[in-house]
Amino acid sequence: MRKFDVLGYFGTWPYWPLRHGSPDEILRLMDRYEIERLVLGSLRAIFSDWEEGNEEVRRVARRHPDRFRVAVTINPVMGRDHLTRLEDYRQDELVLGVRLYPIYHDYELTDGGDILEALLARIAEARWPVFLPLRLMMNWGLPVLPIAQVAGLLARFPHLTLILGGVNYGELKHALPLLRAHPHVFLETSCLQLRGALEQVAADIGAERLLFGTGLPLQNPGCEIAKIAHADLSEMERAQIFAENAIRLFGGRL
Amino acid sequence: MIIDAHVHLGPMPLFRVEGRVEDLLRAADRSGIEKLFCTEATALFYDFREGNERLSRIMRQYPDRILGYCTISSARYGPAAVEEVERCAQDYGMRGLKIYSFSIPGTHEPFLSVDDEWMYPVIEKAAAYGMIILAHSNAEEIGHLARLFPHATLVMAHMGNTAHARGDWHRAIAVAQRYPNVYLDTSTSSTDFDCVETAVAILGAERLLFGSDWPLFRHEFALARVRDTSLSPEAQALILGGNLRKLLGL
Repeated sequence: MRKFDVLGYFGTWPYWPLRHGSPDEILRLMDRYEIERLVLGSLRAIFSDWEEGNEEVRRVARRHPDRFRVAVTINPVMGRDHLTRLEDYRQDELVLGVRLYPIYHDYELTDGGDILEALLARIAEARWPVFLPLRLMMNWGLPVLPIAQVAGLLARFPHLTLILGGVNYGELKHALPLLRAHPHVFLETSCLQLRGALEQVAADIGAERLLFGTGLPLQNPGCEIAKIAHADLSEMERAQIFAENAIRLFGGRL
Repeated sequence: MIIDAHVHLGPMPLFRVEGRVEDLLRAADRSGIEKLFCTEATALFYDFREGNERLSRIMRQYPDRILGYCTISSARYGPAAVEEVERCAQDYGMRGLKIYSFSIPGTHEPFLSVDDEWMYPVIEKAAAYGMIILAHSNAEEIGHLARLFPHATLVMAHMGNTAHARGDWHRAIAVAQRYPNVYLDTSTSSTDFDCVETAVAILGAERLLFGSDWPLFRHEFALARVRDTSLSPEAQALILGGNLRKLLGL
């Protein structure tokens, strides 16, 4: 079954050394788990310089255009010429969308300032996806973006194409009403671990709104694949989650 | 033989799930898991005597499959908690003790600790019976207990991957490195790539026990945490059952 992974990272993990973090290691894991393509975001862009981080991860993707795509990270609080940068990124056929990390960039989605509003207005108009991971990985020590902020964002930009990630069982009951109300909101699977959670989303919202993500190389793709492969879903639903939904969402760019 | 060291039966409204033994056995059969070391959720979250008694009935029903932890949810019951350990060991044939550092529901604020001094006679009694003590705890708590009870076999549930332990598996490994009577169980919602491999590199595979935390998580998901690693087949076999078999003398 084809697999397109919408959540990967590249860079240094500041909290502990990664055993499988180099591009070659990531590619080796993708081969082992038969992941055709992985959407990489930059860890440097989260923790340090977002523009430099984006350039770094785009260079990695350009070396392996058959395997990697990029979700650029934009920090609306630091740097300059954000809208110009956004247009530059949109011209790059390897870039699929924008990731936002309000906790790590010290702003709130409900009140992010003029630059965030202008960026989101342009992104929504261009129908570009926004990747919004509530948490970086499923680690209980790391902070979680309050889902109320996501509701506030969608209240202002109801037609935004949003890929909501990092949702575990504590957040799922709050995420479901957002998914029901907003047909352009998708749920990425990498932290949704509770037995029956995928089935619940598929039954309530529809499997066509789930996107396979691993969190590679922070998280073990074997676990992330196993929970989908063994879930009580039809083969058609599994194929949608692993690949078809991403192909439909990103079109030829994927 | 695969043994799951961390399983729950009974209703768990905090997580909106219930563990039914028939479902458990079907799920275990699908994954080739032979034995299941269980706690009873009524004992964990409501009334330990009632829940332990329920589990004892299930153990009698499936003696080849179900092993039992005596659960003591609060040692503030004093002598009654110690007597319950005795009943579980002698009358019910339970081989383990489950203790739990509770947070205030809806928060991650600590409420009850496995390291409360009222817990010490409970642990002492369990150690006297040779029970394996599965503690939902953080590294500081388990380290203190390991120092106080060097003759007790302590298992740090989830190896730090809990809210209570702040997700800090590095500290869990460090405390197990310091105290040879501390083991780590692999069950968790975290799929952190480096956790199990790092633990084995530092401690050796002999100090890890496979757990699923079923019914919260699928066995296939939990097994992948051990199998989808670079660990040798021998190391995996120890974690998946060999270590617990040795500890229990099975």
